[in-house]
This record gives sequence, C-alpha cells and structure tokens, in this order.
Amino acid sequence: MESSLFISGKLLSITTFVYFFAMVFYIIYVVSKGNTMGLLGTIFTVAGFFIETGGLVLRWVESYQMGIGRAPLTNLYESLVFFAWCGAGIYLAFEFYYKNKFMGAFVLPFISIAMAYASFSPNISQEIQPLVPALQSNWLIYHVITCFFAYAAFAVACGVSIMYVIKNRKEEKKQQLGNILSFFPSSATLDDINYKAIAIGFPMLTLGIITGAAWANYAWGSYWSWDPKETWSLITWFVYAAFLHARFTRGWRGKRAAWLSIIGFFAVIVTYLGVNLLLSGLHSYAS
Amino acid sequence: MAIKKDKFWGFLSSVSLAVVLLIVLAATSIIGTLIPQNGSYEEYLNQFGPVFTKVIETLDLFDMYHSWWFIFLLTLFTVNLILCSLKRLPPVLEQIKNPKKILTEELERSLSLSDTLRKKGSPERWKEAVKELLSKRYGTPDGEKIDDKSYLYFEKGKYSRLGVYITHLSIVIIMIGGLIGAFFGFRGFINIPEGSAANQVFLRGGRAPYNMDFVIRCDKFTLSYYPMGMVKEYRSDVTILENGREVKKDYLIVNRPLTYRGLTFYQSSYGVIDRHAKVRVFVKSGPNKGKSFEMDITDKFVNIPFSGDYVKVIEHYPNLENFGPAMILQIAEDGAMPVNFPVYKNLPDNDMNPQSKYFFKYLENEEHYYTGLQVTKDPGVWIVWTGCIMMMFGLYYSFFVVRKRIWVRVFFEGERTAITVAGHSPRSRMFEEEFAKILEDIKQLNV
Ligand code: HEM
Repeated sequence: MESSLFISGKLLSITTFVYFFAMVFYIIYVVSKGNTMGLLGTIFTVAGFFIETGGLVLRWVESYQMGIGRAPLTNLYESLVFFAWCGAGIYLAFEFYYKNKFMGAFVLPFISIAMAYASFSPNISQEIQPLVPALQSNWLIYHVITCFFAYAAFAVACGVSIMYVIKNRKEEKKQQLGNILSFFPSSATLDDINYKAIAIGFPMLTLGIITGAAWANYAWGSYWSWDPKETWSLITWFVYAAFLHARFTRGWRGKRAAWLSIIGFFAVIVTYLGVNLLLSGLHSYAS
Repeated sequence: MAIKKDKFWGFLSSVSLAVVLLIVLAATSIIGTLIPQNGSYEEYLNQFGPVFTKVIETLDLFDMYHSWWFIFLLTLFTVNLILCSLKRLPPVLEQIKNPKKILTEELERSLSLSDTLRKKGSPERWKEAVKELLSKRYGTPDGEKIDDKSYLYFEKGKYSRLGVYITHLSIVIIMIGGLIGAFFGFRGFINIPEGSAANQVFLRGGRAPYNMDFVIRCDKFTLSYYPMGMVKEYRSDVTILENGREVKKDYLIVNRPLTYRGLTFYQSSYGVIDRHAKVRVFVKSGPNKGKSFEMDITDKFVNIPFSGDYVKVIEHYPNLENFGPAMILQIAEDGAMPVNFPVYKNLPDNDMNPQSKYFFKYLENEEHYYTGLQVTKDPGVWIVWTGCIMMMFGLYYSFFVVRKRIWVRVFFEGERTAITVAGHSPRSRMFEEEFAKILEDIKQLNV
C-alpha cells in the first residue's frame, strides 16, 4: 500500500512539472513563433493530461486499498487537481478544433498555477483522508465534477478573453498589430471560442449549483441558505448570464463581453478559493 | 404620453435592462458575503462601531437577501424576464409553425450562405438526387412545386429556439417554489434524549413552537469512528408514534433524512446528557494505602470512599492519540486545584497521574446522548426541483440543439438545370463549414 501511495503522489507531482514546461513552451512559442516550441507545448500538455489521468485513477484505487474508498474529488487538493485535468482536456479540444496554439500561452498558466498551488502550498493537505459524515453523499461527487468542469471551461474562456482584450486594444488605437498579435486568432474567432467555452461552462455551472442545492437539502434540510460560497457561485452565475445576454444587446458585444468573461472567472476564483480562505461558511474544504 | 408609455414598456422588457440587472444583482450580492448575516446586534456593534452599524441597519444589510431593496431588485428582474419573454415568444412560435419554406429571390438575398450550381440533367432527377443526399443528414424535407420550379425545405433542431423560453420559465417556477417555501414552510429543531419522545419543534426566528400531530422517539443514538479516530457516522434510530401506536421505525444519518407527513427530519447535532464510567481504584499512598475497590463515576464529582477526595469523568475518547479508548478524569485531592488526566483502556499499567494518591484502571464507559434533529417543512421544494430540471432541459436545448435550415430550388434554365442551395443557422461559424461540405457533395453527384 505504501508503495502505491507513493505512485499516485509521484504521478501528480510529475504532472505539475509537465504542465509547467508546457506553459513555458507555449510562451516561448508565442514570443518566437518557432513551430517546434508550439509542438512541444502540445506534446507536454497531452503527456501531462495522461499522466494526471493515471494519477487520479490510482488515487481512487489507493483510497479503496486504505479501506475508505471514495472518488478523488473531496478536498481542496483533489479539486485543484481535477480542475487542472478538466482544463487541460477542454483546452486540448479547443486547440485541435481551432488549430491554433497561441491560446496555450494564455490558458496553461491557469492550469499550471492550480497544480503548483495544490502541490506546494503548505495549507493544502495531500493525504487521502476519510470523509466526515456531511461529505458522504453521491451528490458531492456530481457537485464537484460539474462545478470543476465548469470552472475549467471558464478558465479557457478567460484566457481567450484576455487575448481578445489585448488584441482589441491595439486594433482600436489603429496601431500596427505587432508581430505576435497578428498571429493571434482573429477577434471574431476569439469571440467565438469565448462563447463556446462559456456555452459549455454555463450549463455545467448551473448543474453544479443545482446538485449542490440538492445535496444541501439532503444534508442540512435547506437547498439554499445564502452561505457565502453559495452566494458567490450565484454571483458567478449572474455574471455569465449577463455575458450570454450581452451578445443580444447593442453596445455590450465584443470588448465588454470579453471583460464580463474575465470578471466571471475572477468570481470563480473567489468562489473557489477566496471564500474558503477569507470568509466562513458551510463548505469545509479549507479546514 | 403614449410614446413615453411605449418607451417605458420597451425599457422594462429590454435585454439591456436584463444585463444591467444581472450585473447589479451580482455586485450587491457580494455585500452579504462580507457582512455576516443574521448576527446579534452586539456583534455588529463590536465589529463595525456605532455609526456604520446604523448605516447597515437602515439598509437591512444584516439580512440583506431578504431586505426590501434586494427583493425589489429580484421582482424587477422577474418582471423584466417575463415581459421580455412574452414579447418575443409569439414571433418565435409563428416561425416554428409557419417557417418560410420557399426560397424566393428575396429570401435568398437575405441569407449569407447560398450558391447556385448549373448542371446537365433533368430538374426532376436533380431534385430527387439532392433530396436523397440531404435527407440522410437533415431528415425528410417539405417539397413544393410552383410553376416550373421545385422547392425543398430541410429543417433540423426546429424547437431549439424554445430552449431559451423554457429556461426563462424555469427561473420563474423556481422563484415561485422559493416563495411557497418561505410563506408556507418552516425550519426548526428538536432535541430528543435517547429513550424519550417529543412532538414539539422549536422554530427559528423566535416563532412559537410547532406541535406535530405525531411523536418521534429516539431509541438509540450511535457515534461510530474510523480506525484513526475521526467520526464516521452519527446515527439516530427512531420510531414514529401516532396515538401511542408505533407506525414507523427507521434510522437517520447525515445525508439520509427521514420524511413523514410533509415534515423532514435531518441528523444535525447531538450532545451528551450524562456520562457513567466504571473504574477500579488502587490507593497508592496515605492511610488507606493498598486498598482497592471498584467505583462508579459520573460527570458530577463523586466522593472517593474513605477519603475527602473527589473525582468525575469529563470526556471520553474512542481513540485518544492512537492508543484506543480513553476517558479523561478530573480529580480533586485534599482540597487542591483539580487535575485532569487520561485513563487508557489498552494501557492498564500506565499511571498517567503519578502525583496522585490513586491509580485508576479503565473498566467500562457509558454515555447517554440526546440527538439533535433539524425539522423542516417546505411544500415548495418539489416545485423548485421541477424548475431545476426544466432549466437543465432548456439550457440543453439553447446550447446544444442547433437549428439548421436548408432551402433548395431546382428549375430548368435554358440548357441546364439550376440548383440553388441556401442555408441558415444561428451558429453560423460552425455551419459555414458544414454548408461548404454540402455544396461539395452536391457537386460530386451524378445524375
Ligand atoms: C439569470 C437569469 C437568466 C438566465 C439563466 C437566462 C438564460 C438565457 C439563455 C441560456 C439564453 C440563450 C443564450 C444563447 O443562446 O446564447 C438566453 C437568451 C435570452 N434571454 Fe435570458 N436568461 C436570464 C434572464 C433574462 C432576462 C431577465 C431577460 C429579460 C429581458 C432575458 C432575455 C433573453 C433574451 C431576449 C434572449 C435571447 C433569445 C433569442 O435567442 O432570441 N433573459 N437567456
């Protein structure tokens, strides 16, 4: 048992480094436009994704070997790892579909930071712990999967929106698009990717909030109690709903929509980490 | 005047108002996550000082999600949503019922995706060939022949535009469910000692207690632990009695509530009513040195026989520091300050309090608990769940069912057959490629 524990931990630490290198390669690729660098970025991301998949599966198996079998989705460490896994998967899908590696430099940092934070922060325990009674519910699994899938899609949208804002600023000033910017996907494509990522993220977040409410109703007898974490997830939901409607409104398309997507992801980070670290409530990941 | 009125309704049913309201709701909701909600007045005074407390109080920020202004925002939002949806729904329904099926020149000009091929072969044969090709992907078309021109109309994802309206309706339904819960439901708690029964629920918010027309008895409360000592389960075995007759036996654990006659009971807390421990006492020094006897200890001080010393049990652990079960005793000897020390079941020879005149050996431990149940009545909850399911359904339709329309016009144009194909989809970027592929496939056809 000791030796296999060793393996899942090891695989997930390796993943951290592999994603980090992928990020570095993508950034060098954006700066130098050397195709080898872009290819390396993709190879490392794919490799990281597979190694991480192995790590997550093993961690699941190990929890059974320890006699407390549960999905690897129940504490802050595991949720960060799962976020990175979804993010890498969704990012790769977009990269292959749009055949543009520039986004990597803007999306991989989120994935890398999540893994690095999970692996190196002294506040985060990596141990496989048994579940306290409130967390022993299948709703928890559905809740975590849907929320983090949504968060990962929003991370992709945020990265793309940052590209949009940078590119748009130059275009508005009628400045010559620098060497690098002219290699970005067109504004219309960036806008499209942003929308698609949110079109995946929004229903997932909605499902995440609903499964969370169902779970709260089972465990505490109230599907909604305005606890800070619930409230922040609703705030996030409002922001992305505003984004979706901005598209139907003159004056809100384009730049403002991109900013809404960036603000939305900021709200995700507050929901996810800020509430645990700064505010108190029912959700017990941080403690 | 009429113009002003129109403007007002236009504004109230506009999407721009929706965007602004969503942002305002998001921004104001932050306040309640920064200021603790429903605390006591003293706490706020301590934390924020008198001036700020006054401001907060005036704006109802202590319970902001139920404040007049937040409820006003939610109402405005709902009105906006309903008006906007009602305004836009009829044309959408009309379009679903009677779509433009004939590709007129005018329609063709309004569509960005259209192309005309000119081919040899009879129009009839071409029409059949194109129909067969496209039917594979887009289902059976509507066909029509006007003068010498044949028309085909394919449509997929016909109802996808209803998704938005289902989503919007679901929001209204969830709100209705929430209101019903708020007006006709309650939340309270009930504490029941093991072996006792109760029927009075204490409600939150200072309301009068609620008397259930049945009785719930706690037969047994059990705590169980993981090997490493963390709590694994809180469990209450309960019986429901009506008119003294047992009607239902069940158990409750966290995440497994029990519903009976519209009331739902949740395992939410517990407490110890009294503790009993049995120990063997060995007297190590003093006048009684060498004596040994068994003794029952409770959570109130008990006199140790033949002395002026007292002892009580203050805590019990199923697994203390990985040495297994242990009790913490408190002993007061010769009128000195009481001293706490553990007594381990599995370490019967270890003296954890060498200064004392006594040595204790663990024999038995028994605790009596009460179970704390939360009790809720929420007749709106099923409406809320119905709304949630509708919302997922609506979102699925909005985002993943794409409406695609293809028009075909075929006629004999002098020597050749002219085949015009036009297409439309709200997800135009994805559809462009698909449309190009269709044209390519048609070009490859041989008739
Ligand atoms: C949080 C509340 C709301 C949610 C979750 C929501 C959800 C949605 C969704 C998912 C779409 C489809 C977007 C797309 O296809 O890109 C949509 C479209 C729309 N929503 Fe909402 N909505 C909300 C509030 C409102 C409000 C208050 C209004 C009031 C004006 C409104 C008006 C519209 C309109 C006009 C459309 C476009 C319909 C079309 O495709 O023609 N929505 N909404």
